[in-house]
Amino acid sequence: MTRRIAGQLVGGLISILGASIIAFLFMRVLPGNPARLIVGPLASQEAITQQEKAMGLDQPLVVQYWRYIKGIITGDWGFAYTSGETVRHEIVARLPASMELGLYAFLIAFVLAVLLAVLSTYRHRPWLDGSVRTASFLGLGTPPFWFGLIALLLFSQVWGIFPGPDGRLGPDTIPPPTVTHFYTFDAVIAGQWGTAWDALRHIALPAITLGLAPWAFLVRLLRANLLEVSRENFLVVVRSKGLGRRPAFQKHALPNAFLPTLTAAGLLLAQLLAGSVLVEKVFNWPGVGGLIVDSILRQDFAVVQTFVLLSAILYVCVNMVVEILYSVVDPRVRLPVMK
Amino acid sequence: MTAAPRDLVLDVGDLETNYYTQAGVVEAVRKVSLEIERGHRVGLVGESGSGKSTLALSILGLIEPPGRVVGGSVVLNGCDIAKFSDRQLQKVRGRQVSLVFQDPMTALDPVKTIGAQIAETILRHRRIGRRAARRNAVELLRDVEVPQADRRLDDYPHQYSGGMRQRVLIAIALANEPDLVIADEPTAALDVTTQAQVLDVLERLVTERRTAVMLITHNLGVVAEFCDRVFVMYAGRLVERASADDLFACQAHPYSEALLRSVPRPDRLQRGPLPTIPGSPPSLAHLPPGCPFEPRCPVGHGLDVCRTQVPVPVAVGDPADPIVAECHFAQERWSAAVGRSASGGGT
Repeated sequence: MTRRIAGQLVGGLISILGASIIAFLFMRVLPGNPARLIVGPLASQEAITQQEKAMGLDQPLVVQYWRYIKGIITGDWGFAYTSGETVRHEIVARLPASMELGLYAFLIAFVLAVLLAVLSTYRHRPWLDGSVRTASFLGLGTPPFWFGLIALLLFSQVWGIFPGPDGRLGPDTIPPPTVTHFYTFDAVIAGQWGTAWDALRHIALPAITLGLAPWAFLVRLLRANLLEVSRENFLVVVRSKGLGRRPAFQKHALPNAFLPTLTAAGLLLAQLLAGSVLVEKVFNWPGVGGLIVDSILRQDFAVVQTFVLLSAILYVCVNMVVEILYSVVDPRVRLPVMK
Repeated sequence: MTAAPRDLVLDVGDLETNYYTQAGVVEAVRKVSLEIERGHRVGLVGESGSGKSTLALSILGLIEPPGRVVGGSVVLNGCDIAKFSDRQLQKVRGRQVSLVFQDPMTALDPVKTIGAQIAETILRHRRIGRRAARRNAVELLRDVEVPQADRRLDDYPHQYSGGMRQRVLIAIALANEPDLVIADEPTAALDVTTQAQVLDVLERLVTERRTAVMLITHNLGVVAEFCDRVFVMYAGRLVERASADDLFACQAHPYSEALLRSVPRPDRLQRGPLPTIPGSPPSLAHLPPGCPFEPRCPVGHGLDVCRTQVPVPVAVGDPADPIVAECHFAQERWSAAVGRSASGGGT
């Protein structure tokens, strides 16, 4: 097990290194000169050269890359010259909002997918099964930003159940003292129940919107796998031992059917935590998506480099957790141990 | 019939199982009756699709939709378990009657250890602790001759070979010393040497425990070696029943004869292809009006009586232990066979 985790770690580090090189080169291969963007269109060639020198752009790529890696490790992520703030400040201000939204979206998608897949396959329930299949079909086909707009229109504008798109909290609510950067958690930690409720109400619609497609994907996957496993011969054997339908399902069918869902859920979680541009825009969510798009357009490569690397680290970490869970559930993926 | 009451472990009466498919109602088991005496071994033979496995699962009450047992009785140790609820059946399955499943490669849960899967059936039916169950599982694995049983208990199915897995399935079936084991083609997926070993294990264990066995197979060689009685199944019916000796001496039903002819016999190798039964079994959703074997039958093909009348069971031979065959020509065939062996002047 330890050897397996060590192997995972090495693999993860290599992936992160690869991602850092790609992110680094990508921003430099793009046409355009960030130094010129900073000093403005009317600046002289001399001013541009000076700016390049100040940013270290005159150095060889290897040196630039070394500085970038060193900066990442020491916590100096550089400056976002479009805003004048440090990259760290920009990302710390926005990433938690995206991660909180992604986490809730994931929880909604995952829990509902497991629940509905199990309920619609455990017993023959044509009505429920049909509804789940239709809903998941629609969920996969509906663009999330469009669904978000409709949800806002109905649940906020028409029925007033949820607040409008005013970000993470209502205009009158003061953010809770920072501990985790997740407002719902921080408010509960501080005992500010009103704020927690407000934060929950604000995150509900965007989280549902963002979680819809992953839910649809997971529910279809798990449903199909459950149906497949329920035809497996070993379930007949289990039943012939005298186990009831439900223990056979819980102890044998579900663990076997769950493996592909586990992998998919890990990938989806990493993707959701890294933010989504369109849904954040629709709900005015102060997440990282908008920042990254703007930064790419303005060639603010310190921001993009850092973000790509952070999301690579996130992916690697989530995947490692999934791999470890996987080997706990499925003995076949464990490395053969020579005896 | 003997007057002495026989000690029956299983008495199936007019069992009927249908599958309700989109193509129509498939009558997989059609009013089948059979008895198994305590400690006896019977063979159930027939082609694929003749309803053997469905019969086995019907006895265990494990028919899943779209299938359903629609009639008949399954008297096990004096109780009609066909009338039991699933909850009541759970106490019977694995305890009084158990199943050795046919395909060892798919019959074990791939994500649970062998030990856990054996212990599961022990813990389900006995009030003992996990440790005791584990010790019990080791003993069972030793009994089925898995080498280094105590160490291999914590292995997973994929670390076992097919033959070893089949032994595990036998261990599971015998764990609670049931009165009847239904072994559904326990050797079909194995190579010949492994088959023989696994059968030896099964034979030794059921002899030690005096367990009755219903062995489902299409391998008549296995039947000859293992079984006291034979039931021949065709198109959902038991078309011939006889003691194993009688059946191998003379087949009152042409289907039994054809089955026996299509077994390769190394000692009687002939030139030319192995005899086969032409055609395939009738669709159980659309049975012919007369004898279901008529279209393929070398004796009755095209005869009016066979085409239009369903044959009734005919008992021939020793009245105390008759051969019963559902064939219009059973009596003639039997007489002819007896005549042949008499005039042949053989042993």
